[in-house]
This record gives sequence, C-alpha cells and structure tokens, in this order.
Amino acid sequence: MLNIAQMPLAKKITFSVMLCFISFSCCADVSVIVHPSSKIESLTTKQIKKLFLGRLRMLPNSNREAVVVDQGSDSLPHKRMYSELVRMTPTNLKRYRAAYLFSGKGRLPITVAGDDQVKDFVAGSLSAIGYIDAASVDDRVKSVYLLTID
Amino acid sequence: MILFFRYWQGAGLPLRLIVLLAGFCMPGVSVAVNSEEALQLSGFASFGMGKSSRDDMPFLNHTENWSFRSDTIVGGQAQYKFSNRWSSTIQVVARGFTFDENDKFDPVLEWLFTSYQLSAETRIRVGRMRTPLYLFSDSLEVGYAYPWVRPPVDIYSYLRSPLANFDGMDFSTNVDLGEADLDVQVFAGVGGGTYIDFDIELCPAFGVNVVSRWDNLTLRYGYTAADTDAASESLTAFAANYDSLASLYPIFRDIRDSHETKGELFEYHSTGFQWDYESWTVIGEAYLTNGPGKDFSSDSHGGYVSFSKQIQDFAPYIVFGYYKNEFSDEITSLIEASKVLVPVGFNSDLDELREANLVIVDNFNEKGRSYTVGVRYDFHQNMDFKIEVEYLDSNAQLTRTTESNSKEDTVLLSMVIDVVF
Repeated sequence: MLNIAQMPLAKKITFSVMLCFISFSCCADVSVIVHPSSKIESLTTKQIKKLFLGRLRMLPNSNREAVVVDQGSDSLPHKRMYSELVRMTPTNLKRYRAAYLFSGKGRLPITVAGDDQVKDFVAGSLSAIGYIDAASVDDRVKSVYLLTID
Repeated sequence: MILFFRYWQGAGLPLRLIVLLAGFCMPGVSVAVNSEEALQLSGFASFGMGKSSRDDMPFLNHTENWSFRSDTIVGGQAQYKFSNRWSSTIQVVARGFTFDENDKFDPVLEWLFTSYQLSAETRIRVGRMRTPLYLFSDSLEVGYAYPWVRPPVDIYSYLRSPLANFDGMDFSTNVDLGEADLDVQVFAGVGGGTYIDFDIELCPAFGVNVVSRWDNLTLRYGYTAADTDAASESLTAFAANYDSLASLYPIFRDIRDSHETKGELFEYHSTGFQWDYESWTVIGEAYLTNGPGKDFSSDSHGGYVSFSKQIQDFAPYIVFGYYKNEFSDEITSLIEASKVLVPVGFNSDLDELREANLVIVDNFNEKGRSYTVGVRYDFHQNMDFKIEVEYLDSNAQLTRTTESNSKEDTVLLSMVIDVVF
C-alpha cells in the first residue's frame, strides 16, 4: 500500500506532480453547458442522461426542444460523458442511436469538433446543450453540471 | 368507438389517405429557425446473402443456392421540424423479399406521422406508425440496431407481418420513478395486410406498451387487442366445396363459414427485457396470443433468449427460440359431428373432402425451435458485418413456410452487411 505521509518530501512532490499530470492529461473534468441566458441553473445526472439519450426531448424550465450537441466519439469529453455519465459502451450507443433515429422518436445530436465549436454552437442557441472540458468554460456559456473525477 | 373504426374501414382508402396526409400537413404553423436544421434526411440498408441446407424447406425463400434478396432491405427517412413542438416523419422501406405483393424492392410507406410535443415528457402522434408488438418493433428493419442477422423468428413471426403498422394515433409519456422511469404508450387505429394469400384486417386495433428502464436494464410489457377479419382466397375456395350440401345439412354451412374469421377479438401479450452488463448483452422476449378459440383462429406462444458479448469490435452471440401455434379445434369438431349426420362411406367425394380438410387444418398446428450462433463485426463507424448459422427444427408450414407438416429440420447460413447513413 502507498503511504504518502511516510514518503520523503522530494518523492511527495514528484508524486503530486505526477498526479496532476495524470489528471490533466487523461481525466479532465467535463462541464455540461447551456446558453448563458438559459433559465436552467443546474441539471441532475438523470436529466442529462435522458437528454443525451433523447428520452427527454425538451430542456427543463423551457419551452424549447433540446438540441443536443455532441463531440466526435474519439474525443476525451465524449468518452467521459458516455462511459461515466450516460454509462453506455460505444457499440451500444451506436446501436441505440440507430434504433432511436429510425423509430421516429426524434433527432440525433448534432456533432461538432472540439470544445470551441461546442461553445460557438451553444452560445448561439437557447435550445442547445453540450459538453466540454471544464477548463474551457468561459462567460459565453453557462455550466449546469460538472462531471468530476472520482 | 368500434363503430367509428368500422366506419373508418368502410370509408376505405380515401379517408385513410386523408388521415395520412393530415399526418404530414397539419402544422402549417411556423417554420423552424433555418431550413438546414429543420430537415434531417437519413437512411439504412442491409445487404444479405444466405443459403439453406434444403430446397424443400425454403425458409424465407432461402434455398440450397445462394440468395441475395431475402435479407436485403433499403430504407430512407425524412424528419421535418416545423417548430419547437411540431414535427413530421416519413419512412419508406423497400425489401427484396416479403410475404405479400411488395417484394422485388417495391417502396412501402412504413411511417408517416406528425407529432406534437405537449410537454417535456409527453407527446401525441397521428399517422402511420409501428404497432408495438415487440422490443424491437420500432426498428424491425434496421439491422444495425440489433445484434443478429434478423430478429429471432420464433417471436418476430412472419405470420404477424400484416400487423406491423397501424394508421391512427398514439399518446406517449415518460413517468419518473426515482432511479427508474417508465415510458407509457397508448395507441388506437386500424391496420392490416396480406400474408401469402391471407388478407388480414384489424379494425380497430388498440393497446398499451410500457417500457421501464433502470440503469442498464430495460423491461417491457405490451398488450394489443384487435378486432380481426382474416380470410384466405384458396381456403375460401376450398370450403366452397361444402356449398352443395349446405342447404340439406346446415352443419356444412357452419364448416364452410369456419374457414374465415370475421370481427373476432385477438389479444397479443408480449414481454421482454434487455440487460447490458459490462461487455455482455442478454435479451429475452416472450409472447402469448389469444384468439377467439373458434372459426379460423389460433392461440400461440413462444419466446427466445439471446446472449452476446462484446470483444473489441466483435460480438459473438447465441440465441435459443421456441414457439407453438395451436389451431382452433372448431372445424375438426364440426367435421367429426357431421360424420354422425352423414356417415363415412355414404358419399366418397364428401369423405375425401372431409379428410383433406382435416389435414389442412392440422397443418396449422405448428411448433418449432431454433438455435442460432453468429458473430457481429463492427468494421466501420456506421457499418457492421454479421454471419450466423441457424438450426431450425419445426413442423411449421406457415411461419417457417415449409412444404410439409412433418417434423423437419434445416440449417440456414446467412451473412449481412448493415449500414446506417
């Protein structure tokens, strides 16, 4: 077992730096974002899961059908969002989306590339909901949920 | 209510066309933000090939020669969003093989409806929709959406293909139950179609479909009831052989009339689950159909269970299926009763007719099993390849379209490439 208290100082520093490095490189927090003028202040995990699976078609506290903005399936925020929050494997997600689309239940998310494009889209639409690396959040968008590392 | 639907059916095509058109034109209200967002086009296709071990049991038209048509399907869909709450969907599907006159890739309108979102959880749809008979009813043709080459045949019986759609309306809502939630759908409408030479009309059909989701477990129960007319051209012609005796002995009129079903209630219960646990997916479904127990009708039940495991891009699977169809014994009882009135040996033509009739009726008593082993390979972002071997053990003349009622088995090898775009 690792006992940090018993480590020499130099090792402690190296270890902490390593931890920071790990958290920044592979496990950055993800923020779910909406338009800054949206009435939504926060959302529950379940609401987000249902919104991203198209099972809640309107944004809560609004009169608007949700326009869900996805990132590419290879991107880090996408992987974290679907594996840890929605809890669906990439293959199951693809099958689910195909069944959803062709059963007339609704539309699929709009896919854009990278945090900046998600912010551009969300900043331009009161109906939009997307997700980005928490470090990329700025005043053009409002964070309504933070997915943190366990 | 029933009178209304009877009127609807009586009004025939024009009225149904108007409802369908209404399904597409109703909300001329407001136009969405920009046309690029308003219209969404998409499509799917499956390119299949397969061969069976026997020419004399052409399952789905698969024979000992490779067939490229039986599992080949192409579909296109357009969704148009009129406003935040109004939208319309149209889907057209062309199939290489069907049990009606629409094979040879004739385009068939599968979905055409307009939906109105009443609230975040609730919506109403009007038009042509899929009857929720199964877990995968909504995506029956979309091979990419399920693990197998085709949905398990013991449950997704081709006999029920005329019931696949209805024209009418539905109401669906999502009920929050804390950790779990329920999707509840209630629907009513009219439907029908052709299966080989059976014309089937459902007027009305109505029911409820409840899907519960809790984490990675999905549970479903569906109930559909349908006032049903069913008749087969060849059977009606066969039964007309009793006409000459019908005036002398009314029992022969009863026998003749029992070869059709008119305005009888059929009830369909079905239940299913899907459990995604880590890399495993377990899916099971069961159904029970209750006919009126008389005339030309049957009671049936069946089920399947499927296991698949995702190993990187590969997902091997196995499926076990079973079903049984018990035909109403009314015709048999009437024929036996007629032998008291007109004994065997009195008229050789009648004896032959009665014996042939008993054999025909017995052909509708079927049971079958199926065992399937296959693998799905997701070789591209929106494409998969599947190969499976299915062992069918049955005496099913109708659902398996075998040539005889004796117990037979077949091995079917199928491959398919599914695409969504």
